[in-house]
Amino acid sequence: MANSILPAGGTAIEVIDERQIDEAHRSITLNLGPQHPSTHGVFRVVIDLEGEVITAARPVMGYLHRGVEKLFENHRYPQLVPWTDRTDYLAAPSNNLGICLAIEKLCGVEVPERAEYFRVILAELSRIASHLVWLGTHCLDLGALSMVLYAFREREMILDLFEQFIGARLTTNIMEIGGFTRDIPEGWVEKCRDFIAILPDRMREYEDMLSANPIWLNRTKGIGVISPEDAVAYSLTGPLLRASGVAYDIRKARPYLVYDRLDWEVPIGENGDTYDRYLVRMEEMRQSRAMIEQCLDQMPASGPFLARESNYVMPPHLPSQYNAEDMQRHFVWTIKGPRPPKGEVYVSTEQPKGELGFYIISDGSPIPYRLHYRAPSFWNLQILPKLAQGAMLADMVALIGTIDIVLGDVDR
Amino acid sequence: MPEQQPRDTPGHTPGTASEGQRETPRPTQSEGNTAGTLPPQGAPRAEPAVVARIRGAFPDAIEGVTNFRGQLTIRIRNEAIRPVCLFLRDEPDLRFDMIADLCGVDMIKLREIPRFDVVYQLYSVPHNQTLRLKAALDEWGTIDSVTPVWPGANWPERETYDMFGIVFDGHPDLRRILLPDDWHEFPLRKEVPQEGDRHEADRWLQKQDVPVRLTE
Repeated sequence: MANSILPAGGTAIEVIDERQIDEAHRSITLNLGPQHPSTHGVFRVVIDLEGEVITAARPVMGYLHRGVEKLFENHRYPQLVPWTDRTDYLAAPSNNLGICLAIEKLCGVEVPERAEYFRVILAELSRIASHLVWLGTHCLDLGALSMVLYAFREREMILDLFEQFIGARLTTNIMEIGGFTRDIPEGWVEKCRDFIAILPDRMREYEDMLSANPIWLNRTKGIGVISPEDAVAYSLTGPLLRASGVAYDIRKARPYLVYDRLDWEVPIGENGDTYDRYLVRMEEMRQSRAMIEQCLDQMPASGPFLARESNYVMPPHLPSQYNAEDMQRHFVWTIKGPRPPKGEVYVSTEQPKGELGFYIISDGSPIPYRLHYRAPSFWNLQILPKLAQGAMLADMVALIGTIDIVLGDVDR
Repeated sequence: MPEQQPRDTPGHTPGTASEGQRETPRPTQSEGNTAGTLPPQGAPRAEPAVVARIRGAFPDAIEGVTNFRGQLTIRIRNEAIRPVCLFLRDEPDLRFDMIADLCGVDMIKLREIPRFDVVYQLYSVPHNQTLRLKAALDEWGTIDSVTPVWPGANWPERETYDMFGIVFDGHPDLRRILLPDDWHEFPLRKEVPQEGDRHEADRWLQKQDVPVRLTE
């Protein structure tokens, strides 16, 4: 079986004839993660390998589970918004928007037009920021090391915009039930216009680096193909679904805020492979940019920014600092919280990674009886074992990267 | 305590399965849908088309229909859930080909028995329609898995088992998913406290009204 050769002046080395290895030792089981940079967080995949070919992949998750649904059931409605920052922390304003819309739907609160426009601007900015992180890290996984520097350069500008408006960069807590309690700061709109003015040039720069790069094309084209039937059956949403050719975007299908007044298109792919998902996300960034531009043009220059005062909307801050009655009202509202009517709603919004849904059951108390968080990353990740089967080991990082997961969102 | 019956709001039109995001729904892309055609204004309150279709195929499957904020909820008998889901998926005029969400609810503080609800949010890509189904089960009961109907229900059902201990019959791989395999309780049940010990939680459960806790 093994013959030994004796190099000159050395010790004997055993040489194993590969044809002689028995079947039991041919396949190995490999742990990818939980501490591995290309899993984008603490995520573990147990991979069965036959040579270099994956025969089975079993995702193991929950390392970042914080029980947000239990926390949702133990906090009053206005206290829920900051928790959503910490699920998908790369697109916190989109999550804030999702829960605000759900509570507003439950309570029947009408948000002023100006706040709706501004919400669209923030949601689309966070979509661009999320896609930029995806682009940088996905290229990093596949060996294009410099891309992350360029992508994070533009993301920094978006985070600066968030910081100028609300004071926070990552966990933004940027909006409240009924709209916004503070107005757009001086110079913010101009800074935002500056950003969207340079974005097309910067995106051309990215595409110069990638679109004709043979290594990039080899590693993405034809890798991880998802058919439209599979995409729908596995409940994939977001760019993952649209790259397979299914034009389902909640912003078009069930328009919320002012998306029906804007002129934009839903980009869809043809082949459903990793390369098409790259194209779809790049095009989505362009569409988001166009939407922000239209919103900045159409948004009323002044006007109410918070819904008319009701039992559900926080009384204004400023008078409470001068007037005893206003202070009492503000105090009581903050301590007791609003009591929405009895009922149940499911409100879904198009988050950068897919469908973000909030299912609320209210029993009339200030605390939700049940609040289910439909996390897009968790649902999208289900396709991974199917994609990995039969793929090469080196493509595993491409597959995890192309699904675009955030482990805070998967584990909640 | 009987199950909550949300009152219909006066603003919405009954008989639609479409989900408008606000009280007065804006026009959406709903041409060619047949599952939830709007009845004419001022018409008597008719049964939604999708309810009539289910009732036609399964005469005793529907236990109740509620409509809150324009969202339709159909309560399905536990044993009928999988045939009804298959029917909704395969009928050409319904084609609910995607399950958008699945979750469990511990109803112990809202009614006596049965203890749990499983909630299904369905979506039809060709017809752009949404629909919510509900089915109830006892603490020691089971419910049919819908993973054979929609493969996407696999992990959400595992998560529901993980959080509530709801057992899905016919699920290919019903294990815990987010918590460790040897975890000792089902954390989203109402008797499990957010923090602290179980006895404190039992005393907390005995209080009927949810208190406003000033000392948290």
